[in-house]
Amino acid sequence: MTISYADPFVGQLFERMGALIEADNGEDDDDELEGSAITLAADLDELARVNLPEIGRYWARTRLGQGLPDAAFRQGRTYLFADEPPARTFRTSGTSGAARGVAHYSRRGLELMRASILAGARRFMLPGLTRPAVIRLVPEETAAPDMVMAHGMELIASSFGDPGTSASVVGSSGLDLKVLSSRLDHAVAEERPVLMIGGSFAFVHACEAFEARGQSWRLPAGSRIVDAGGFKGRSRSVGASQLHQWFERYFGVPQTQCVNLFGMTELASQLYDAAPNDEAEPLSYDEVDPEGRRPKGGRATIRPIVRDASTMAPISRGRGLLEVRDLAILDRPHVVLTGDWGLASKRGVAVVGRVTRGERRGCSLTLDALAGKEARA
Amino acid sequence: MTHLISWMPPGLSSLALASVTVEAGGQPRWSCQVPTEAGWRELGQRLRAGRERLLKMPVTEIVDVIDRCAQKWCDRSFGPRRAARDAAVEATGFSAEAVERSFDVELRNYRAPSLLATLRRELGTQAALDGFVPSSELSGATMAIGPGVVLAVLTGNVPALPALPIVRSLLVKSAVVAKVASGEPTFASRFVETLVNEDARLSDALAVTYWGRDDDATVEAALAQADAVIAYGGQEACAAIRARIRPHQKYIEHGHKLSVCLLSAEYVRAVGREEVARRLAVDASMFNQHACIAPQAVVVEGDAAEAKAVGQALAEAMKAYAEACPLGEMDIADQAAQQVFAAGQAWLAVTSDAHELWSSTNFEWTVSVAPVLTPRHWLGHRTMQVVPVANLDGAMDWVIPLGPFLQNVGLGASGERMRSLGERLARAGACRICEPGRMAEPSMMWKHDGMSCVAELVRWCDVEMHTAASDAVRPEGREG
Repeated sequence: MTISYADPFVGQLFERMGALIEADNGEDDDDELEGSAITLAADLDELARVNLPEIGRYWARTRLGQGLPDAAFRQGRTYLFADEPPARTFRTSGTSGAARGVAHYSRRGLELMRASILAGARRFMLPGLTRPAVIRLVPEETAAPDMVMAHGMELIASSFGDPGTSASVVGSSGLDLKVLSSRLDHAVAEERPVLMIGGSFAFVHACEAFEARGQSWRLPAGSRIVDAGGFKGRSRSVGASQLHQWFERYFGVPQTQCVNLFGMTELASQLYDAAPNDEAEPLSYDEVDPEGRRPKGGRATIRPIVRDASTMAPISRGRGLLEVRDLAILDRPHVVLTGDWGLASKRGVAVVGRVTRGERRGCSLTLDALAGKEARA
Repeated sequence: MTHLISWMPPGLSSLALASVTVEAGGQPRWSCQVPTEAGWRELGQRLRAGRERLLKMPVTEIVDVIDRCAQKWCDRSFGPRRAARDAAVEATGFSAEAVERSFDVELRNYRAPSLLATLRRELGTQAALDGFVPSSELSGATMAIGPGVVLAVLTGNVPALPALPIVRSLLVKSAVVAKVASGEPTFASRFVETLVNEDARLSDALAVTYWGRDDDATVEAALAQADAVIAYGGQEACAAIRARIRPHQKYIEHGHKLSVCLLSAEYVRAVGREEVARRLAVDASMFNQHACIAPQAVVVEGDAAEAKAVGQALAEAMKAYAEACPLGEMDIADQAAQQVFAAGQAWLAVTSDAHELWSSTNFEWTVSVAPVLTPRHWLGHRTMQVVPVANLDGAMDWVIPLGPFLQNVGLGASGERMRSLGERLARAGACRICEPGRMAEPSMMWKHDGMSCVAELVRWCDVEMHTAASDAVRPEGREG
């Protein structure tokens, strides 16, 4: 017997989740809020266990409460409501021959996700900004309807941005540098602060292009840059420190105004850098990796957990496997084993790269060489 | 006190060598003598002098030296072997028994009958290495000459593997510089020391050293002394060496490869599922699956239920193997990859009848069943993927794309299927086909990576169109 979408229990969960998102002040030491979060998490687990019996069997084979791996979103069912067709579906980009991951959202689930995205943006992107020009280095939502980043960033732009100056600068053939340049020129002329948001790699592309063209801007004071994710599936990566230097050089945005966001198609909420790397309280060597990736803080709605790679026990310091508990997810099991390395420290968890097999030297093949050759069903 | 991983001919001038410390995991671990820029020239001269001494030795004497050395090294109680085993355990994380088994299968190939058979297979007769031998086809004579100095760039994935290019070089009377890998740099110098202790005439013909992967100056200086290069390594490492090879240098490359096992339904029936599983467990567990000849997956003719039955039996066999011969330590990155993989497979197993997973709690071994061959999931460390296929011929659709990387196929088939599948596998790229259970023990005679690795080293000189051709042949080599 499954729990219907129309069941009052689901309605109550929806209300409680919405209230948690609303009340989440972003602080890490609110015991009452965390208590609510723990109770809510237990009830969400119960919903998942009833509506998706596979999750109980998965926990029996692994450990109770362990997050779903990304493989789960590529194959099989994770959506909990057989009696309620999904209102929206987002898909991962897919890497190295693997199938694309799928995340279905019900109407309520979509509403919670939107609330969580906006709450995060309000807290981490908008402080000090009123109706900024939100310039998105991601496609319009209509051009990429299954891309969660396009949806989320357009939502932020339409909710908080100045309608006349906010825009996507990604067209059908990719990043449109001409449009980006003119939008930045316009913001500077208007003295309107800018909120630039987009994927990390898109920023690399833009900075390299502006370097080649000898172009740079001093964006109005208060402008902020939020780059999302990292370099998964890209041919190369650029360190966070390098990226921040470029942001200052090409856009005149100091690193204290730069924030990295960690999001996944499989999650409804996002993690943000916990603290700018300012001189007042510099990050220490055990909080930040050599590439400058900074810790991301947890909050009641979304919390990073680091598991020891050997025992899978949660750890509060050091490197391990990153798992994320996201209490804005109603429609699927709410804990995800991300496949990333996390570096746990007192100020949060830095996301420090994808888990891959250790470097193997010798005649035994490292299978990157076979990317694209994988047999398909 | 750090262990010395290098070996140099005795009496090189004090200015020829610099002492360096080799790190592992950010800690100083070993000491090593590396020739200076001028030292490489001096070492080259010594090696060429050492090679002259090898040329004076009949090849059977060289075979005899290697055989005596191998005989000692095949004894698990031999002191240098025990020391090498302990050092390899520390360097690689393999268990002691896993290292012992690697040593066993590698080193027995260097006994005299195996070496002589290899020379016969590749050169026709070993006597051609000592001087001209008659050639009826030429109505003349022919002689094989090895390079003066061979540079062998080694890897550390298989304990004792460094002996192979050293032995191949000595068989063609070449001096050799072995560049060891930081993954396991300790074996080569101990093996070379035994060779020299067996016969001091080899002492000037052998050197073992190390340099970091970015040390371009040392690579150039070493290459300048080499007439031939044997390189083991990944695609990038091999490409970097290949790019530096000069036109006069012979080059033999052993790059990345992988191996699989194919089982026909008749083979499983005839041999029995449990015995087949035991054989597969040996193939997958030896060298902790780090060798290119170790299978990463097995394709089973039958349905998903048959694949699961084979998988279950294989899991039991892997467990039994691990009890007798543990895996050892796995580095943290590989543990993390295993955890993520196991989580994914656990989910698939509970959501799909086409998947299953068995593993020990600490990833001593892992067996998964999947509906398609998935190289992305081949993690090494005794991780086997079992895949069903309705007809084994259909497995070729998966195997053919692996072609450029395909090395070893454990083929459970006989009769007409052995012939037809064997030919298709050979054409697809396989370099070796053997019975399941024998994948980890290729003979010295096997054409490694499809090449005649001894013959590839030599240059031939023929005498023909000469009335006195037979005079070129030494008296002991003349017929009658």
